[in-house]
Amino acid sequence: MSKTATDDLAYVRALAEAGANAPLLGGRFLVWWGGLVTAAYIGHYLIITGMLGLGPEALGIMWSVFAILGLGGYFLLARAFPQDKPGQSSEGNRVSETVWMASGFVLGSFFLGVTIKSFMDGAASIGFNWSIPLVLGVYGISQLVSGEIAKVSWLKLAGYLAIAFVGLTTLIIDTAELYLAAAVAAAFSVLLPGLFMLREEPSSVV
Amino acid sequence: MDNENPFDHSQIDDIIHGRLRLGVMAYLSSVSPAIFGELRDKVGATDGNLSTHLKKLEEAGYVRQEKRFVGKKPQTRVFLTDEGRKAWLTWIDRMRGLMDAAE
Repeated sequence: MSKTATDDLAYVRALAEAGANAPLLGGRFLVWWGGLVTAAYIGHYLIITGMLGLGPEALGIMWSVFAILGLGGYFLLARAFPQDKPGQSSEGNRVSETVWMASGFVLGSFFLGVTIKSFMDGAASIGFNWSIPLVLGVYGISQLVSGEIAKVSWLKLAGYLAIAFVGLTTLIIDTAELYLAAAVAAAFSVLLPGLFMLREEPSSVV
Repeated sequence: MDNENPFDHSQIDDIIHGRLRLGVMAYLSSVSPAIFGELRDKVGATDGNLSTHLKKLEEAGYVRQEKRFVGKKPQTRVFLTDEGRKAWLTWIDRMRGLMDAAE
């Protein structure tokens, strides 16, 4: 092989890898949902332990505000998402977007079911407690897949952390500390990785 | 491809084989569509140079350019076409065959 051919191949490989390793651009969404979920879990813990001096009806109000704020903010963020970020169509970004979208549908479907069941029974379903291992499992799978496809090892670590918390939260499913553990898991597996991603986000191009 | 001569230069796609066009095809093979400026920065070309080479690739049907506005700013996005992907994979096979034969 001539030196030119070898150089060409090295150049081609470097460019193909640059595309494959394009930074993930979902940081703002992770920060939004991660921050909100962490705050809501802490709020839930403070309410059920009586630390805020509020009755259980405050839980319904808090989670309703969470849903409205969460979805409203998400749609605003999606609408304002800059269309001039490099690497938007990279395999990593496409896969990450898809796996998070699927996760959102799974959680949306689950919470819809649990909410309807609670209205039918006239009492909060136990499904709300069991939602925590499910939520953390979904976070874990999404982060692990995103980290694997975009070759981001700390994101994979965040995924494994969330998955480890699935078992832990199942162990304490009937305690108030469940919500504290969930807050810690959401902060470290979603909020923090989101902040890292935002920091590594490339500048816009024309 | 087994019965072909791997050293036959006429078997190598000249449209792809230019260095800058190789870079464009390699990047688009993993990021498609890419923003014009993104592609320019990755392959290290000037706007004019990249435009010239993209035109050649577009004429061959390997890439497609699409113009749109992002806010008030115009933006060109470059897509790798199915034909382009096929040509790119053929080029890789051809180079692999050449390397294998040279070993």
